[in-house]
Amino acid sequence: MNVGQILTNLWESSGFAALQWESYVMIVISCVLLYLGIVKKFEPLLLIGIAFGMLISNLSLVEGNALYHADWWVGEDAVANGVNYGQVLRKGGFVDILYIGVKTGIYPSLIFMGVGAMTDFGPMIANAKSMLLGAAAQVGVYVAFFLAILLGFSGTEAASIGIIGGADGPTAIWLTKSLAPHLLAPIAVAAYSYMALIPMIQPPIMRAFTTKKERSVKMEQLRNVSKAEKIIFPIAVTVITCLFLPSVASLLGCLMFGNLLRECGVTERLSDTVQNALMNIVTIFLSISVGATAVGSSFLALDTLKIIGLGLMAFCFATAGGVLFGKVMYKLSGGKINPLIGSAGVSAVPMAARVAQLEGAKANPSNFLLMHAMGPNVAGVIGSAVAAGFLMAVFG
Amino acid sequence: MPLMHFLNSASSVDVSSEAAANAEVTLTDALGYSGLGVGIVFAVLVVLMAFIALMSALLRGSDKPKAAPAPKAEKPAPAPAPVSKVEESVPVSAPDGAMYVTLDGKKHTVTVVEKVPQFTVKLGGKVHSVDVEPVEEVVE
Repeated sequence: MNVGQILTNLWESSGFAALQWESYVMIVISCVLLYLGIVKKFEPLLLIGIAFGMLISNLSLVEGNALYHADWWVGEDAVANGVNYGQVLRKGGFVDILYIGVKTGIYPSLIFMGVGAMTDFGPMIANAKSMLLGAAAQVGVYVAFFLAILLGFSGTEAASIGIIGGADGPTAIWLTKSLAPHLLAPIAVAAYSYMALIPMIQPPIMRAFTTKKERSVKMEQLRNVSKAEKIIFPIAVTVITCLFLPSVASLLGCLMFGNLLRECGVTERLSDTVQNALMNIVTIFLSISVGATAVGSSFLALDTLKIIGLGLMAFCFATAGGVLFGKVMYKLSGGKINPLIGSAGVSAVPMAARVAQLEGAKANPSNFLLMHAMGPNVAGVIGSAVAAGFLMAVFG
Repeated sequence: MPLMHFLNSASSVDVSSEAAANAEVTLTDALGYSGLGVGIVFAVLVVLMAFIALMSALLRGSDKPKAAPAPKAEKPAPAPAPVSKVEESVPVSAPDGAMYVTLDGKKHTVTVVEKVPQFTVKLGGKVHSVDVEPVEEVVE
């Protein structure tokens, strides 16, 4: 018995032998993200899963025991000939199996179903004009797309980076897994991190583009929306958007299906399952598998820094676009619309609407903008999905 | 895709998937895509907005309340009988439908006509309203 040889073999088969300097950096980054999620409560439901996925995939790099094989998904062979799902199912690690849901676009669509089941479209139906604010905020997507091209990214990569400005994690993942899967990790981390930082990113921009008088505007109470309107709306949106942009049918179809379960009044059990159990399960699978794609050797690149910078620009331009269009509506309505609600057009339901409420209340303590901001907020979800559908139709 | 063919013919930018995905995107192309993208988002949401406005108008139109029927002339309530000098007194134990009241110190047998909303009794062929109050002692 050669004890030395056994010890050597043990060492070589352990995780320590496979660790490289990038792995240590990624472990530190994942711990920082865990801290932000647990202590600072930044989007904890997603950030903790992403950070933990990042941690375990960078600890298990030993050949034969790896949880995630990046080459199988984004390697040259996979890009040229498509993913070999037989290999994934036979030899894949735990995260490889979970990642099938990302690659096939199942998780983002199911998350959208949950979002639809949890969201009341009433404020948007009550104030249909607020949809324009949701459209205006998508300017951030295309500004970031243009800047990404300027920085030398390809069309598919720039489209994936631009969609960060939609402030919608599932949409960003859905588009990126098809157009630029090798950038999925930095784009997902940037999208969810900035969504968590919305209370810090948006207020300075909102104040910079508005006067105190504009921020103080109290809006009229929204009308009541009938049950019939709430039932017809998701069906009609599905028909209209799927005819315009079939590429986005899975996302918007699921969003509207979830909302229909909520509003129709005869599927309470299904609505409850979609809102809670299904949403939670998919969130766990999605966050771990997306986080696990952040392997040090590919994540620690100059492009990641560029993506993080462009993501921030996308959020800022999206907020500015919404607020500026809000100012236009303020003028056209004779001062009846508070331009702050335009900032909620960036999607990020309902956090962006809460930020509009807080800023409005700071300017006028008797102001209550939350329900008014929910209109553009929900329109932003639809708008970002349409923006993604357009980019998919062009570059997909 | 019909929309893409329409955009190709309506703009100078080739927005077909093959062309865009494979070719290098120039800044001019990027500007074109951005403009088209914003336009598409606005177009879709404006269509949805118009649909909401139409749907709301139709549904609210059909929900308008029908003309209310002319209010029925209410029957005048029967005028209460003039209250005579019945002293507000107390009900005492008596068979159902009959009771005693004291009036000017004398005890009279009365018949209960109505208990609600107003306690009324018949005394000497006339109907009288009586205020009933609880008492501690029963007057015999």
